[in-house]
Amino acid sequence: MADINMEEEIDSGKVTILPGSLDVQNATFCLADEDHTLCNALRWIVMKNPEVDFASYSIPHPSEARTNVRIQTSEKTTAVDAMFKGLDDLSDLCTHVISAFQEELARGEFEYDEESTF
Amino acid sequence: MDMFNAGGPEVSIRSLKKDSMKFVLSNCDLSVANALRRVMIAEVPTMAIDMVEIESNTTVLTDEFIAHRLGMIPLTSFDVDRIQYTRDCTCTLYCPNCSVELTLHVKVNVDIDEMNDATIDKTRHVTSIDLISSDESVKPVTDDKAHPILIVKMRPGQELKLKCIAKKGVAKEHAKWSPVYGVAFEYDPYNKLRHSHYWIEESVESEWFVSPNAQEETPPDPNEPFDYNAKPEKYYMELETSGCMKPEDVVLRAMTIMQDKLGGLQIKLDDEVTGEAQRWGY
Ligand SMILES: [Zn+2]
Repeated sequence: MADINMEEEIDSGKVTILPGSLDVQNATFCLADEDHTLCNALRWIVMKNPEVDFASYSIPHPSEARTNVRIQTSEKTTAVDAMFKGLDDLSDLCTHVISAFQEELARGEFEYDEESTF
Repeated sequence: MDMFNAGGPEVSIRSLKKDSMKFVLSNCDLSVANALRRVMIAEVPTMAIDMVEIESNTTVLTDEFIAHRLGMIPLTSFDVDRIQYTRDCTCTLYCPNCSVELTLHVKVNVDIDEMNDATIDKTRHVTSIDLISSDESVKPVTDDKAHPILIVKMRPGQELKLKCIAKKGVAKEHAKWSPVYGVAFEYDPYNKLRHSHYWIEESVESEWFVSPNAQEETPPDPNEPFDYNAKPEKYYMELETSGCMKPEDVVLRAMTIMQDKLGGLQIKLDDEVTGEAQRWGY
């Protein structure tokens, strides 16, 4: 029974704010199905925000597909807003990389060979 | 984008070939470059054989051995967006919306005259060419017709008849779904940042050669003090695909997948914040 409840906790909802961790400036977010791929970049971009005092992530156990992201901010913002801003900024960064890559492809100033493998 | 170092990340493509490409990503953090690398390896969906129904197998290989070999065969996945994941589909096991069927039937007949002639090679190579797909856009990668992928070798009198179900998936679940055979990722070829610790007998310079990417960087000045604030800036990436899709598409899809993940998280966080507020009666 305990096992079933635990799985439900992880599966239901991709983002949860861990109980007891939330006051306005501080929160730990639990992201289900995310790992180093997204969370390390997210942690970096959240820390770029000058109002963020602390941002870090950890994976509590390798066999559980979830990651905890801790954010602490100054009084000028909230942890939830800092998280939203981080997600937004990282998405903007992806847009930028995509357009830079597409421009570079269109420019075509590179060694190009459709036939050969290497 | 003013919060990023002068104009944000830059991309410079070095070469683009049929199933490999080299490019340099610069002016961005290591975590972002690594995210791109990890998504390309493990989260870009492709098609791969996931279920095998064996009707007849009198070859020397066991059913599960053959099923495993079939799973590893790369399938063209240019059109993978059209196909749904089975978990999101309305069907219970598989259907045309979430799968592609491939069949294979090879039977080697016994020819008495041939059997008595020791000079004739009677081994039949069953390869990826023998797999017949029901969908023109999802079929085994066979760029090199002279060297298709070997599945099993058969002798006269043996038969192999089976049906494969190819499904959409990601390499996070099984490596057979990875669109890439490898992603080379290098930064700081001179090891100025000291992120690498080389095993040496006497000196790094004489025992470890410097990679060709070092041509693009300034060699270290031995009199310069160690800059402990320095961060990596240029990432030299090279990827080789299995032939299932174009290398440039792998990169673009990977970045789009990152964005989709972020978009999904925003929605879920919004739900959670609203739910939290209701719980507390705000
Ligand atoms: Zn289906």
